Amino acid sequence: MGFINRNDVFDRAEFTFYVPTQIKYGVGKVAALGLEMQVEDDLCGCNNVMIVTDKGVLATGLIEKVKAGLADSVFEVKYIFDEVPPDSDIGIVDKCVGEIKKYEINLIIAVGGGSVLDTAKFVSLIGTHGGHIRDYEGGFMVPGKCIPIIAIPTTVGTGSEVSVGAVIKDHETKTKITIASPHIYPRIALLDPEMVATLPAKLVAYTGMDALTHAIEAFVSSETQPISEALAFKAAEMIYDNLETAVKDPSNLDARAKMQIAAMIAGMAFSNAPVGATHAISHTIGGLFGLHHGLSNAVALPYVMEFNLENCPSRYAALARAFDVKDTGLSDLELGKLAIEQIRKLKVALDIPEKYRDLDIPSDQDTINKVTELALMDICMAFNPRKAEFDEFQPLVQQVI
Amino acid sequence: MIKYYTKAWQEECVKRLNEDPVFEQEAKKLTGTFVFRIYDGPDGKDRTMVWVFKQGKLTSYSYEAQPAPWQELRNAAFNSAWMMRGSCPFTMMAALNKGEMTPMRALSSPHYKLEGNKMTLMQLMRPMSLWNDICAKVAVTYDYTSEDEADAPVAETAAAAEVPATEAPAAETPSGESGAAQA
Repeated sequence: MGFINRNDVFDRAEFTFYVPTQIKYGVGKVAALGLEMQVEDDLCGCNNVMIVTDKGVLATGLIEKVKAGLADSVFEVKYIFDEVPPDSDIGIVDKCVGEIKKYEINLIIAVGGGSVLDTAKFVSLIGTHGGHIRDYEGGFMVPGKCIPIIAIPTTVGTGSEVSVGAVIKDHETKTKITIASPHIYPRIALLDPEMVATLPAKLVAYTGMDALTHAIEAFVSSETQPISEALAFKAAEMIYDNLETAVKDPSNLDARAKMQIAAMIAGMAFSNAPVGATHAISHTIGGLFGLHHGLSNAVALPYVMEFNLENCPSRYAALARAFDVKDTGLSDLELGKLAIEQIRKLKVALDIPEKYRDLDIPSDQDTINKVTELALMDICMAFNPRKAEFDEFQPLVQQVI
Repeated sequence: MIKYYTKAWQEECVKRLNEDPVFEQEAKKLTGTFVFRIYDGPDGKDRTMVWVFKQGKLTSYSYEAQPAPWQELRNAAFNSAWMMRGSCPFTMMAALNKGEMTPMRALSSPHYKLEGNKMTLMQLMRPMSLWNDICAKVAVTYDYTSEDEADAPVAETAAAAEVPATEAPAAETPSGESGAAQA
């Protein structure tokens, strides 16, 4: 029997693994962006480029690096859309799509965190097929190819640079809209550690915990399969080993590079074994109260792990071993509890609050009930290892809040 | 009025599906056997429906109901040749059909069991949503107290024999839109 991962019965009759995104990694890689795209048959004719980003990224000078990487190439930056907010919404997409049409954009370079990359996916979709975002909500509702996206992440968490999905807020309904489609995978994910070298420590912590949540939830997903498992486990271990250093020692490019890679690997995992209840709660809290997605995941993660523990003890035991827990013959359940304890310690080390109420989220019964009901309607619940009705799920939400 | 989740309802759905030009156009990806098991109907019966599609055309379908608990149905193993099997109580399926419950909410419930490759099913969301939309437009009653056109013990049509009804439990949809949760 495997020491790290139990040799559990393989109970999947079939599975599919799919990630079409080309991954290009390298320190200083952005400097060669034009060259990297020029050698691709399907991209070399896409000359009308729009950069989608946010004002924070623009202020750091990272966009200048991207523009320098396109200098003397066939790619012309027609427009820089820098209005993506931290919690992007459908109005922003509509605004950006207007520019897409105006400049006849046929290539999008998205430079930023999850909000920017996901916004770029929606822009690519609506800019190609028209209509309203709600028309495409859910799984695989996109009818065909979209404007290609080059994704350059500047955070260490989203995984959106290689993922099948995108999430955006509808401020009118205070809900998050999720889409998943093979047509919105970025064409290229360009990982350059220099693009995350100046990321503020707080955002490294939040986005890193987001990546850890992706890895853990993919590892125990109802759709887990050996390829996604391998990716998720490796990502979880890399994140556990490097996140605290990446937060506390910004000059440590090795730790930040590993975090960037691990976040991408976790994205590949959850694109094929979707995330679960932590994300369902987090999407709801984000929709209602605008809390940062990574922070929201970080708060809920250990509680959801406790909720799921009895449904996947051997998985959590394996994670415990990856998280430096000495296996002295303990049961899987005991090891699983220790894995959760390690997550709690990591949260403390990263200065992440224990509960949502510590972040000024209301803790009254109406809020708890509303969060419970909305979270149970989130698509991610379909992939959680433990299903639940309101009465079972509400105590979990109450604990997290 | 047609009673929900009866042979008459399925036949009306089949008629509408096969006559809908949009469905014909959009459902070409829909191929395979979709099985649903619906437990504890208001008439005290468990029921099963099987829908077999080939490139969006219904090539066969079947319906059967027997007094609950119909153990043979409830214990039947999932056949990996099927695209999916969904199983849930009648009340949940009725709530879905009435729009009182979303498919996503059903999928988070331990009372709604979906078998099959969910990732593959997600790729069929668009045609499955259309399928569901068409079926949900059939005017139905959930009142089983009247005597008319209740369940014939076994009612089959077309090539239903391809899929033994007793092996053919119910289906649920992978993702959030309408999907086949109700079919």
